[in-house]
Amino acid sequence: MSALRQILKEITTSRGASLDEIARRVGVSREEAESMVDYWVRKGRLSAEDMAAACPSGGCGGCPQGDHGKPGCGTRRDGPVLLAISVRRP
Amino acid sequence: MSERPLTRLVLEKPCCDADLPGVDEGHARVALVGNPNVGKSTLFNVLTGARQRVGNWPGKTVSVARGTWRTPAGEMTLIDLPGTYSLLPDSPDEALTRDLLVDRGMDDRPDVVVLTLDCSNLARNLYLLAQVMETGVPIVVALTMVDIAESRGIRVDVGRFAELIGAPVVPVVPRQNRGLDALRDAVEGALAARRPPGEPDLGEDVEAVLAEVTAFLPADALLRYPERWLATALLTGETVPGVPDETGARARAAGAGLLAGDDTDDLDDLDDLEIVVAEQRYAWAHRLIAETVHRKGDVRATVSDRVDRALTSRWAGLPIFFLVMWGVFILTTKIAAPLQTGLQDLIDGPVSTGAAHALRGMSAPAWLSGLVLNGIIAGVGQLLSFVPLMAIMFVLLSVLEDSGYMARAAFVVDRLMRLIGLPGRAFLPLVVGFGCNVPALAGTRILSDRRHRLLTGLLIPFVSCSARLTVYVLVAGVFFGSQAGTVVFAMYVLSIVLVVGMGLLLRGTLFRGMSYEPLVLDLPPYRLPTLRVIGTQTWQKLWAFLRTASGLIVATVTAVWLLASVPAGGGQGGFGRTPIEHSLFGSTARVVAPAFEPAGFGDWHPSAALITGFVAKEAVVSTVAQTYSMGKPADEHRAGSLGPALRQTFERTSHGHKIPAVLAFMVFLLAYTPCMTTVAAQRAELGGRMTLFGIGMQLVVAWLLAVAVFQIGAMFL
Repeated sequence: MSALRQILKEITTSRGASLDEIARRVGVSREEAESMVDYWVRKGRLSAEDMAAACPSGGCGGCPQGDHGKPGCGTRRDGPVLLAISVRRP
Repeated sequence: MSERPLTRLVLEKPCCDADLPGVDEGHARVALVGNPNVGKSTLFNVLTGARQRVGNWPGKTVSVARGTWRTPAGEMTLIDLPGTYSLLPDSPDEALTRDLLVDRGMDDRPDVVVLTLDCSNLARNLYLLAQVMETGVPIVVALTMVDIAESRGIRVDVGRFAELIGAPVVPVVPRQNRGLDALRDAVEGALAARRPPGEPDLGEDVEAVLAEVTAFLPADALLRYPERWLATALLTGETVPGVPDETGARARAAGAGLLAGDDTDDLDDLDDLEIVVAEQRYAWAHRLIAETVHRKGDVRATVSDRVDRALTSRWAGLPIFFLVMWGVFILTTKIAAPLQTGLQDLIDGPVSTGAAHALRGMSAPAWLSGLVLNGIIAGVGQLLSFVPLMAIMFVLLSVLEDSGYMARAAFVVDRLMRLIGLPGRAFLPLVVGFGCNVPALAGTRILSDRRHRLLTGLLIPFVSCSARLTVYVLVAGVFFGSQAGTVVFAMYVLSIVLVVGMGLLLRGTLFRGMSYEPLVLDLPPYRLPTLRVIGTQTWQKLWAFLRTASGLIVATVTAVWLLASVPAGGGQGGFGRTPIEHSLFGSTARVVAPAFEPAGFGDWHPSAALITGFVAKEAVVSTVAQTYSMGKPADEHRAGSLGPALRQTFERTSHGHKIPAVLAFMVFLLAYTPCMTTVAAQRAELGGRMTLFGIGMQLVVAWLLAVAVFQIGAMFL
């Protein structure tokens, strides 16, 4: 099986893994794994959202805590971002 | 390693000199292409200086910068195309690059493409390189972020890289003017040679099919499109304007054999020729990296890996997380305690005394003095004394966030939740809930399954938000002294236990048979926290807390003062002169108080605080201060009198078991409805019926837990 398919399979069947672990299992570098995740996201098989994605889709303007479109909850959008990658069914 | 050549070198092909929109006549056209955030625009700015203009690309809404690159040999027009990951476009920005390199046809293509690749993250850029190479347009690769790559111990064998892709490769650091002359020479060389780059080798099977497809490509289409690109596009099922549908169908039929055979992946519906070609492009990129990228003794990566292994370990990860958070609460309470006391003394002393003098000087009526001194100053002042504490806590949390640790903590918590069967992605809004439950509820929208959204929305109110922290600190400070930090920390642990326990309970009852949803987390690299980010974050959070709290508290304090001034049932004293416990507010609290007798705090003072806490937890502290303060004449303030008064109340109501009683009070405060804004957000996200169910569940759980804590605790303490 190709690395590209293995990445998708590992993510689809993973139970609480990090991308680094998955990259190690597949035998590619973290950067290659990220690139392959990019590919599957574009294909619509995975979705990748950072922590700020926990905010409403309309951004701070759509949140009762928002202050005229600015964060009212102190949520940050810079700094290290934890990317959550999950499976999207076609 | 494969014995096949990595790249097939291509013989020189004729190019063209037709005009391109927005390009000065007679100038060579050089397009800057690359992934987003690879330093492309920095390179563009350095090469063109002020000689640039930004405007929409003709016929498109996409903004493109164009500028003049002056060299000793003449001038070139440099076009800074929007960042793109692929020539199979996903957005109008990306479509522009595809349009320019392919769709416009051979005559309108740029003369040379400078493909900008991030040297520190090369693997992520090579898919685009493969696709651009397939278009046959002459390219020069500019390797950016060389300094960052060097600092990470990454070295790229530039000569070998150039050899393997069949195009010049130049490392550049634009801000330091490093490599720019070499880049200019390479571009001028490419303009003179007009030689296409090599073609990435896509493996024996795909290459054989591509050769077969190439053989029947229509001659007129080849005048418009690059041969290799056209063959690949038709094989992968793209519809190419001007090419008969039958040719596409024939190409796909030729590739049908590539789809057969691999049933080992259990991934149905992946029989797609585009995926087959993509697999080969990634395999090509993997081989290219293996041959050209060298990591020399990447000590930092190894240390980071080792640290991650411990911090995210299945067994040690959670205890480490709890230890870190315990440290945060201990540090916060220890450092803040003297500041908080000083500020409280200042408010209770000089501020209150000064205000009392001023009011007397103005001959203010008694009701106004009562409102200002016992209401606004006592309530708002109590909350203001928490500012140092909140600031210290936000600084420590920002340090943890900015260093990358919080991402590890989320990873550990996610694993815990997965272990007990909660939907994996639900942890995202739950983590946000530790700041404020309201945006966390809005965040449940990221969950695609409605039942996941409902379950998570019901659990969020059990996540201890920052407003509840002020009450924990006030109460723990009064009753637990130097152990206050540990008690506050225990409340956060209990919050997690509550979420997990209630999650299990609900999944086993109302939410049976929910689907499993896999989730992978991409942990960001560690980094040294910066003062700027920590300062900004602390201020943002502190300001958000003060902005919300101050408005709520002034309103609640005024409402409480008003209700506390009205005698219940037309009783004794008249407006403003009735004892507070016989006022409308006090009487309501006294009606509620017996419900808390089994929990050891059946007195109207804590009941009154819990009533206003239903409106907002920020108001609990001010109500506690106000109810004790209003029991005294307006000008009889004594600094530090709140603690003894609270201790006396709990001692009395618990019949000598004040520690279990106060713990029960804190547990009730943690578990019952957070605030009215949360109720409104729950109604918007979960609907009215589920919100009512949620409120009922919170009250029942809070009461049962509080009673259990007191009854069991009273046996031992």
